[in-house]
Amino acid sequence: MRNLTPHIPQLFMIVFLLIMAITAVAAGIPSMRLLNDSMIRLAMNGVLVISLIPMLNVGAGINYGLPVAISAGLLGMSIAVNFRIEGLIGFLAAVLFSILAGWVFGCAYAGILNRVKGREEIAGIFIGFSFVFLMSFFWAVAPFKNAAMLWPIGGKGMRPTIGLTAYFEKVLNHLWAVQIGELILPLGLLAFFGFLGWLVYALFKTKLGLAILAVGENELFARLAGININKTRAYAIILSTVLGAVGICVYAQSYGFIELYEAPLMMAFPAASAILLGGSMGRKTSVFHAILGTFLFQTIYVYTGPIANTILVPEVSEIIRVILSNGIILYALLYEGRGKTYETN
Amino acid sequence: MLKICGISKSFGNQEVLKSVNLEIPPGEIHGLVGENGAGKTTLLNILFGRDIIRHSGGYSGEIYFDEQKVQINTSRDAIELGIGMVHQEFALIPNMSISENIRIGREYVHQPSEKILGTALALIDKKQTREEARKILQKLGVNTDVNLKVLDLSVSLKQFIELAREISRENLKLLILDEPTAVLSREDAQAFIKIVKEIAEKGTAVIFISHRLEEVIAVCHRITVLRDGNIINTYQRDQFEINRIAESMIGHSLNRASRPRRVLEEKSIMAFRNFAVAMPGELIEDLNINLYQGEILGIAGLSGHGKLALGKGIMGIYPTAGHVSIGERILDTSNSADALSQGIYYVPDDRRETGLLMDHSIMENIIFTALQQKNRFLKPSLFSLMSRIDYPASTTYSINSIQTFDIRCQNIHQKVSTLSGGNQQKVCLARALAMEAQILIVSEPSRGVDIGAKARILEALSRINRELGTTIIMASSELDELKYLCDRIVVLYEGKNFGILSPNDDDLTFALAFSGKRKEELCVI
Amino acid sequence: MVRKLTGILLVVVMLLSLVGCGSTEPVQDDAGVEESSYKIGIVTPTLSASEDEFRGAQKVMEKYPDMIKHIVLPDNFSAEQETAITQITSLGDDENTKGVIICAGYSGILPAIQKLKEKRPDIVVITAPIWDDPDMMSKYIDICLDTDWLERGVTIPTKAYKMGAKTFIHYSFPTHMAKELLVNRRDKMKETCEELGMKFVDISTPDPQTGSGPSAMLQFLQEDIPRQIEKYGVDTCIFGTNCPMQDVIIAKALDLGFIMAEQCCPTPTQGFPAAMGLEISSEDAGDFDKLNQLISEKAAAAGQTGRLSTWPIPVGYFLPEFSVEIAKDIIDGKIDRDHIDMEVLTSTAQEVAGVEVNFNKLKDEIDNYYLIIMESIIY
Repeated sequence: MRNLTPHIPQLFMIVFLLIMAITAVAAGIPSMRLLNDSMIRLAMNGVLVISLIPMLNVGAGINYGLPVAISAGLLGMSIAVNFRIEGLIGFLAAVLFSILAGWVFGCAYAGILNRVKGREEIAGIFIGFSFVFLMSFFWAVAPFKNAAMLWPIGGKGMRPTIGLTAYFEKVLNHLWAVQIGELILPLGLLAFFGFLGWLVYALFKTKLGLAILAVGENELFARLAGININKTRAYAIILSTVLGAVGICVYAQSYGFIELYEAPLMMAFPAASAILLGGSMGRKTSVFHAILGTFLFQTIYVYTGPIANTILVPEVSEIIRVILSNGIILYALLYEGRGKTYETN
Repeated sequence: MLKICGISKSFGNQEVLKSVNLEIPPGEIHGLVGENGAGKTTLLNILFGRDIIRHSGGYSGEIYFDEQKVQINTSRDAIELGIGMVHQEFALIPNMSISENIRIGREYVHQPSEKILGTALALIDKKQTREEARKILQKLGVNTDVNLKVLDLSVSLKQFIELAREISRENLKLLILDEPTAVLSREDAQAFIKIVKEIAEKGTAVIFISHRLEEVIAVCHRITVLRDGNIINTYQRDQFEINRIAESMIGHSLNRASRPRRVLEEKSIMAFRNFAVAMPGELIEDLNINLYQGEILGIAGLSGHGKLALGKGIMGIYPTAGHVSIGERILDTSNSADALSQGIYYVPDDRRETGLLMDHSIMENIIFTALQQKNRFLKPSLFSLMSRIDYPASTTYSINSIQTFDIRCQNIHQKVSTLSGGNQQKVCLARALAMEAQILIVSEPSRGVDIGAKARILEALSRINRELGTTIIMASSELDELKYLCDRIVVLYEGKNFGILSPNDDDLTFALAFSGKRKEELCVI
Repeated sequence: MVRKLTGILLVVVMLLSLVGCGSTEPVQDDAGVEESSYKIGIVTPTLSASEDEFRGAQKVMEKYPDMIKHIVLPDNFSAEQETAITQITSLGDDENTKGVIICAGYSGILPAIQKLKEKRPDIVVITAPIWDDPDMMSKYIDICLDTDWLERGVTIPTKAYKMGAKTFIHYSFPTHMAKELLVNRRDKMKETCEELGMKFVDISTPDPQTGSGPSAMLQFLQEDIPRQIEKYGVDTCIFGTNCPMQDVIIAKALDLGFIMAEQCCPTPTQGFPAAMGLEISSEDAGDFDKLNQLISEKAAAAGQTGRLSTWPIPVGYFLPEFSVEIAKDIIDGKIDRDHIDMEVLTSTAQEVAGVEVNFNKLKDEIDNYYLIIMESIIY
């Protein structure tokens, strides 16, 4: 019999979700639409969550500096919008620019994190926060020309939100979307998400991937095997940043707006919650953890809102959801801590 | 004073103390000697109530202290009974001053404040604490500012402060000294011993542990020899004879077999010149040796004398000085990749910490280094970093390795953390083989390994050497296995090359060499 | 190489931001101001904190270049309140300063005004708005202006009803519903809906202030609005209490065809530009007629004529200029600062805004605290 204790949060969440799903049907909420929503949410948030994996596995902890990666993605998308590249090509161009920006930002970020080894998480929070404000200055003066991106009154500096309707709003969501009855399968979106997931999965089957895992698990061992620790860490951090940059592109195309200025500030926390919920125990986090975690975390949002608004007093629902998801994350963190103490004994 | 009856202790199913009896009257300095792993430290840990004893299931047998049967569960119990211990690794708080360290937990307090606030919250009388510390140190012949922080002191001064802390206790009845002179210079050691003698004269019993046999003989009233958890003999003062004690320490082992000697061409493939490694507690200084092609070179010596540092120095884990050359080329010892590229491979002694990826499978552990350094087991690709692992080749190779080394496991995907020590060691060797190393450096290959696996590991090393022509440097605390495998054995004493012995030399020669003595010198005495 | 590139990029970003700060910072060069006999100081938040007030102040500065001194409050006002107080009181150091106008929308500025007034009781102070205790404010401040947030609980549903709404949906979340004003406004909306015979629906979204940020709330709106419209039909007016919501609500309104009577902050610059992807060329920047025309065109293109509405210019943009005009009149002696005539206010407002502006007193017993409601534009 396998020991199920480490999976209690996931099991608990799944049971909770099942109850929600049944309640939703009973309350007459169109359940197909909820299912649709949860699929879209999985893919649009999933890439950001997957982007945490390389850094987790190299032993740099949860990437609370995700705003750095997100800023890179925002820059990439802004460039694409500035040149008015539309449709799927526009999206792919945005992804390409984001990768380049993510690579540059990632190098700087990795340089800093390699100097604060062991305190990456707290350093990441501060780097992320300060970077967002640095970027706010940049957005206010960025020399972009497309008037659809600029402040409506002053005509200078970027708007806080840029609508993507004319460019690449929902291009992935609508790509190869197949309608089965009431259910719309966003195949293109899922395929893109699946492709990125496969890339990360495949990464850990390569020489570099194995080195990343080794550095994360046992730095001394890796050193004995002749691996350049800082370089490997840098690769992992750059990879995380690039993936995060692509992640925000996927998110933005689905959401329909590019959100600048302070919007990236809190983006790291839902992603971190999701991966913890998925059962990540630090190093050796798999794509499966990320996908499961995102699905559970986001689907709870999809279900609690409407159900609570129909059945419960609205404000209570929100409070219950916050207590529940944060409590489960706390449990996951506690369990993670416990796993560590077992090891040392 | 202290009487121990039938103390036994096992860790897991390994019995480290087998029904030990010992009696020490007040005022006696009792020497306790034995090889590494003979059970000395375990015995001390029991007496001092260390946590590790309780956590690993306690001990059996009885301890009498002052004719009273006692149960020592924690260090606190031991201290309350009047047992003091000077630790091998310093139990001092670096950021506190000398006086604070000496009186820690027993500070002088202002009487009124104690009455009001209770003992725990009473105000410390710093002046008296300092004054007392100064007096005690003076008694030890140390004149120093007691306000200095311990962190700024020299190693030998720290040792004196440990001693001062113990002897300043009013109720001290039994003092345990675990290798107290190991870090002291000869002069300091003599001063230290003088103090110990004075303490004993006042009626305190002392247990004295040291690897310096001549020191033990000089200071102790009686000497007990421990071997493999048994008390071999207790010698009275008139029976002291250094080679007799050395012989009973090493004993007569079961495996006396020796391999046929061979004559090797003295062709140097690796040379150490003034090589030094700054590994804390295992320093190597000024080492000059040549390694001959195709030989197995043993490195022997007691722990703390540097035998574990050689491999770690070459692989860049600790800073080094001097140089190591392979042929004409000088090795970059700051980067393990350079050593690996020169065909040097190191199997570390601490398998769990540095030798294995415990969370990964047997296969991944076997292929890891060869994959990273030699691009073996990879599918061809444009960028070698991004090339994918060739699973069929890795699987075939790993299955072969499992058979060659007789690794007992369910399959190659089992996590190495679930393997026994011996099988883990075999995995390490299999990885070394995958590297096709020219020079293999093995540290303590049979530590924590059961007898059956040990034989197989030694056999494998021998085969790697004879069949593949790999030159091997093997550091070990087990003299038997060194004698069994090696062509030459370097004995390190205090980090220096004491001499190169032949495996055919008798155990006595080795035992003396370990304590820094030569047979000839003894004859003179 | 990588490091160099990154370094260069960082330096460029820093330089850009420096240059940028320089250009957005108001010109505080007061050499050769002798032409005008007195000066009026305007205090606003930074551009990134609140565009409307900032641009509004810049606009009056262009109108009276020698008279206006524009001061910008620190970006994180709550953390640097002391700096703000020093900035405001220092305005009184200049003998020529006769009027101070504070358009900040913060609480905690009153102490600065108290200090200023102690030193220079002659200075005319107009707040538009600040949010401190109204009774105290009316003692020290000559004229207090604010939007009539509570009254909008009546005007918005009424307007929605006129635009053809049968259902009124109110989106909010716990932290907002813990604020007295917002709860009272919601209750007023509910009351008004009942009086008019509309169905009032109250929906709670994930809270943007509980760690996950606004994205969870916005995503919920994206999913929930279509559900609600399916349930209640397109003749539904949707109102959200939080600024970031407006982008989604307006975008969805264009998509699904429901009614959007007013945003939480009624202005064509909120929600519309992002949701409609409005492109405003730099020469048209600040031209609200042009902006409103663009919105009308986009609304028509989406078949939404008559279903979207807001106030034609942002209150924040209107108030600085309006306040300066009033302050000028007081200083020039055209208005008696102790007996302010509501008619004068209305006519000046009409002149500045180009639309009708209604003034209401906050309380009958306070005669210098006015709340405004602007005439709407329906696209």
